[in-house]
Amino acid sequence: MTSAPKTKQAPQRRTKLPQTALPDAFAAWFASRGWEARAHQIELAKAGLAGKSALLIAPTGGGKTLAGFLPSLVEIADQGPRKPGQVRKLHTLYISPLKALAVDVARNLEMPIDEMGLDIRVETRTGDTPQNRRQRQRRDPPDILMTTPEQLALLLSYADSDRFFSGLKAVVLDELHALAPSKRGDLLSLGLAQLRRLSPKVRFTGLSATVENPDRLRRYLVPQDGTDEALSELVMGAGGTAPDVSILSSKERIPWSGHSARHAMEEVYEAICANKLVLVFVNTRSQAEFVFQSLWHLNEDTLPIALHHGSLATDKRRKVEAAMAKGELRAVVCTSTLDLGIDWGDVDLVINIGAPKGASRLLQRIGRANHRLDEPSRALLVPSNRFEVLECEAAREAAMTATQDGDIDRPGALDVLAQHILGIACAAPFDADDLYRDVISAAPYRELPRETFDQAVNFVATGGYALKSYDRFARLRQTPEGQWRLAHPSIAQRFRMNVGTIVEAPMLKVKMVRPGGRAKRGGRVIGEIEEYFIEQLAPGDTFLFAGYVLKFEGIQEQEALASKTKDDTPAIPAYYGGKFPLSTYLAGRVREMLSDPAYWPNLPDQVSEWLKIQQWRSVLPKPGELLLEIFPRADKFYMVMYPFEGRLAHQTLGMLLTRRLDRFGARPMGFVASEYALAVWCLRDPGLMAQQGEFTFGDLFDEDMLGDDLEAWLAESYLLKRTFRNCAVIAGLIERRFPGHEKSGRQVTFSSDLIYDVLREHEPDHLLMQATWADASSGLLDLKRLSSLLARVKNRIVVKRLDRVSPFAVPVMLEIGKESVPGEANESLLAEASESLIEEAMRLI
Amino acid sequence: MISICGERLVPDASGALHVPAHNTLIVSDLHLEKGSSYARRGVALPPYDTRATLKLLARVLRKYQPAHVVSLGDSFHDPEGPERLTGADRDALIAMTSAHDWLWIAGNHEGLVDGHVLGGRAEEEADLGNLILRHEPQVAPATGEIAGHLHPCGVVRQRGRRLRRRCFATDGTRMVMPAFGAYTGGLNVLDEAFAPLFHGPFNALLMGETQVYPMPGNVLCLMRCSLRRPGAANLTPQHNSYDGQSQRADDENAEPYAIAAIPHGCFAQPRCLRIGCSLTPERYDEQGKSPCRRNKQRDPRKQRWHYRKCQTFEQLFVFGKEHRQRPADAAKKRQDHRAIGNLVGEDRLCFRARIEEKDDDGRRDKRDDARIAKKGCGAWRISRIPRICRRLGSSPGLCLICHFEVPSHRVFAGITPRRCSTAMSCSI
Repeated sequence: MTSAPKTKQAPQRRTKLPQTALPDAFAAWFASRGWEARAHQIELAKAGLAGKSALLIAPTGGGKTLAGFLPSLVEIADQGPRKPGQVRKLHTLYISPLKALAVDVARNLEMPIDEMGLDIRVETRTGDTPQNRRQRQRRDPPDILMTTPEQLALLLSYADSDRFFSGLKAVVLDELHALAPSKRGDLLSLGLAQLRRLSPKVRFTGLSATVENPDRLRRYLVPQDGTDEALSELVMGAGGTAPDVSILSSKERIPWSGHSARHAMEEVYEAICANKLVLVFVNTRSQAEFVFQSLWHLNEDTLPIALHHGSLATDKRRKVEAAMAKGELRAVVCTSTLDLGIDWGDVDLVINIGAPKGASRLLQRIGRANHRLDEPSRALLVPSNRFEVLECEAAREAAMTATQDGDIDRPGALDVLAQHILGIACAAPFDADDLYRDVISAAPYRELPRETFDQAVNFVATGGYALKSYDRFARLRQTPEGQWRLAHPSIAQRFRMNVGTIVEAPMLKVKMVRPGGRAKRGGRVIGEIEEYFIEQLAPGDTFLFAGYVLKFEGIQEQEALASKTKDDTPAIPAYYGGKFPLSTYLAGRVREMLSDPAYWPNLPDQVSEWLKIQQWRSVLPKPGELLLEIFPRADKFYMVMYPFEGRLAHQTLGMLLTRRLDRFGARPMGFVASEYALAVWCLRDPGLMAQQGEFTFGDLFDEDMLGDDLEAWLAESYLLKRTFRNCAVIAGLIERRFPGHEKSGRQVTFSSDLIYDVLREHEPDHLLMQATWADASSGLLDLKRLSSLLARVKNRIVVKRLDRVSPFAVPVMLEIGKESVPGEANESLLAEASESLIEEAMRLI
Repeated sequence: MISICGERLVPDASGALHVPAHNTLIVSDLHLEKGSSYARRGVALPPYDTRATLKLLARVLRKYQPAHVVSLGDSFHDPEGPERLTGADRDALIAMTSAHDWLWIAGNHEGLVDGHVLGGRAEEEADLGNLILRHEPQVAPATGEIAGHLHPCGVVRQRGRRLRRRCFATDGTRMVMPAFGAYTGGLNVLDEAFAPLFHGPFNALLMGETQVYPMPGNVLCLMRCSLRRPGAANLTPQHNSYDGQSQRADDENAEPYAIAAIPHGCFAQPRCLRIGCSLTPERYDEQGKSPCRRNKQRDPRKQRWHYRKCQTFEQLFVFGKEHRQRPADAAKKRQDHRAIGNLVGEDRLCFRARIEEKDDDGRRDKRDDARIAKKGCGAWRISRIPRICRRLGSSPGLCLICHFEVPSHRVFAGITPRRCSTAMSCSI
């Protein structure tokens, strides 16, 4: 679909509109509010009314959402009021990454509709929408429907989807920058391709915050034709005022390591006292719990401070949001759940505790303060250790100059494609050629080879194995006309229960009971917690959750029972997936800062002193160099390096280095990885070995480690097994839920490991293995960054042999024992367990 | 090397057991064709499990060169397994059975293997010197018993990590062997299913890559310590092997709910009888009570799973008709319907067996008996499902028995001439 024929199809009524402004009713409404429609709003409205797909990039507070809806409102208003009993078709679909955002936008849209007296029905449809309303929506659709990508996939899988979407004119995609580069974005892009088939005249409007490369999003909105030229219109909003970002220069001693920012809590509390409403962003849910607890510890004025994170029960979160909107709160401690565009009350300061991890993420968070374009947003960064001071400094510069992180362009995921194919088959029998044309019109899949597509269809039908033994159990069968249809209607039902690409870590609900109480009827569910954390607790242990200190009472069904208690040292739950890796842009900037002593005076005294001692004791690497320090300590030799490539890449590097050191005979014993550094310890001195010519460091860091060593390690890697499980769930091989069965996440894990082993041995190039590999190399293994690191430091490794630990090495050394690489269970541990028992038994005294 | 009843046994890291004195190799729970068993229920697992299992078996046979081989039951995942073997796998298996003196012990999954097709002999159980080889371990003390069925695995904690491995479990008088098959999961040896087998300390021999690591039972740990309380309702395998397939050891715990198969709830394990409750009997407490909060029954006897079930069946099928005809109070009626809603596959299959047990009481109406004998539970399925859908669907239009989405017009139509279309597949 190109824009030229689109213009011809444009409805007649548009000619009546003034070319430069909106219809009278709308102009009058803007005037009555004392506003003036902004240039980008009008430009986007024009593109929309001309039926063109467009991308709007504007900073927060730019009236993006209203701009996206303006053309739809104008068109629907033109249809005039609804006649009694008239059933209209769905006109506009709005898709947001968050349920709460969909609800919020629906509420905000009611205002202009009411005030202009338009007859437009706006409804939401999310996972929380009751069944009867969903059915009614399918029968009698509203004019504008607010929903999420998962619900779109669900709607498309119904047999009446063609009728439901036949009148669709516009789709508004909010926060597209957050959605597009993920698996959810892949699923959505396929859904959009299907919408284009069901309603060829539909236009897509993307709303996005500033991004590094807008072309990627512009491509997302229009059908691809194999060239790079298929781009949507681009509308740029005026830039906002540069934010006012400062870094907390604590009077306290800044810790060497750790992420709690305990030292700064008093100063954070003072900042809360001095402002009206403060958002305190942290990176992980466990950190949120900790910060919340510490703030209340200090909170002698009993200021209303609340907690908000993804593990809390929905109604608890809704309560906090409502209180924020009403202005009843003074501060909210939150995780990325409040990152995206929800407008809850007038936030006048954003505090970010810990490292911001990415320039774009920080900008997004800062944008939460002050939803007015003309005033600067205020933010305060609180580094929790010395390396983070550097990172915060880099992020502050980036925020001032509005620099964005670059994302990696990744092709669409194959497991998502498999899910989409089954979804399409659930709606109606499909023709493989047609579907392939649709799929490659979606931007993430535009380079998908036909062969891979056919593999995916075969996967959905029979599992797609080279050994064709499942043909008689196929889920999809081909009709004589060559169309693929569902073999049994129950498959559609199971599909609908498992739609979506979010695979959560196994969770248990946390329910509050009376102390010592067995489960009584009732009891309040206060949220969900990772099953594996609960498993480590014995009844009677205490932990911190939802701002309470809780005593663990036991597990019942899928619920963990807990009672309120008092304890000074509760455990803090750790959560999977709460850790973002340091972005490439910030990492590069931090490396530059380190190597430039002229910059150090800008840093707090404690930090610049630390750097000076490091320079005196060891050396500071120049940009592009990799510093490697080797020193003895407690009978072992530690090799510490500072690649600044994020924890995931460091973990992988650590695995590969220990394998290789083992081969060279250095007898490595273990390693620990942090965001900034990697430490490996051995029984022999690698520095001495290199001096004696047993190996060179060039060999040790040779790029070929990404070949055989990686392959050998991955054979039993737990990381890959976990990735495989997620892919298998998304692709529909393993179902999360099926009718009548509650299945906890751990129950899936075991069997998927066995399947992985067998599949890896017998069909390593199976579609699911391809999907797993693609996922892991950008995800848990972070191979892209690792390979770029190895290429960067080739012949530029600075080896420094020291007699004791250097100031830089201290933070990562302190992590030893705290951070282990999970799940890499190996044979030696078993032998050790067995031997220690033998030793105990054989001891003579 | 361990010794049971004076017989020296060599546990292999692959999960096989060598008895040098008798030149015999024992393997248990091969579960061949498990992948295809799931595939026919719509879960297309990689079809290579049989191949992987046979390959490993061939390697072990080469290592020990035994004259006799015993497959200790559950050699196939279901009775039709042998028919689904692919050509290459079948040939590989026949080559093995003809090269050795091969004995198939009957398992609860497949019954007796037909030796004419695959070679070898088939027995319910067998003696080997002082040893007795059988599939399901007896609950009574059984000196010299070598059994499988329970798929034991052990969990050790070392340096803050948790390692889970399949294991041999033995107390010096008897042994439970680990499962050998590629897709077979494991049941923690500390689970109460093992409690009646070992009256005292026992050892777990955890399978490593190349060797077996002995651990005393008391250093092992449970995965979910808080879930299973000591002395919890002890539901031994024979209690729920109604359909000849004890689901408990293999499918429910060993590989809990398996891999999302069981599409229509027909092979679902015993559950709490309360509607909408997913509790399984191993979560019952010391008195055998379901911890389900919906369970308001006070009489502990009635809460015992199998007992309750008999009651339910009697009410439903034997006197059910009278109950419905009587102007019974609404609560009673509701209770009946709830019970129907919870009937899942094996309940219906075991239905006739229960009736026969009740015959001694002589309290039942002969006509009902005849009707049931004639139509069986299939008739019930066909005629009742729409009614249940109407009354009990937890989400509108969802049948609780077959989980088939019933369109609304049928929900209100009462008994429909068309059977609920998934009811047929319930009889897999």
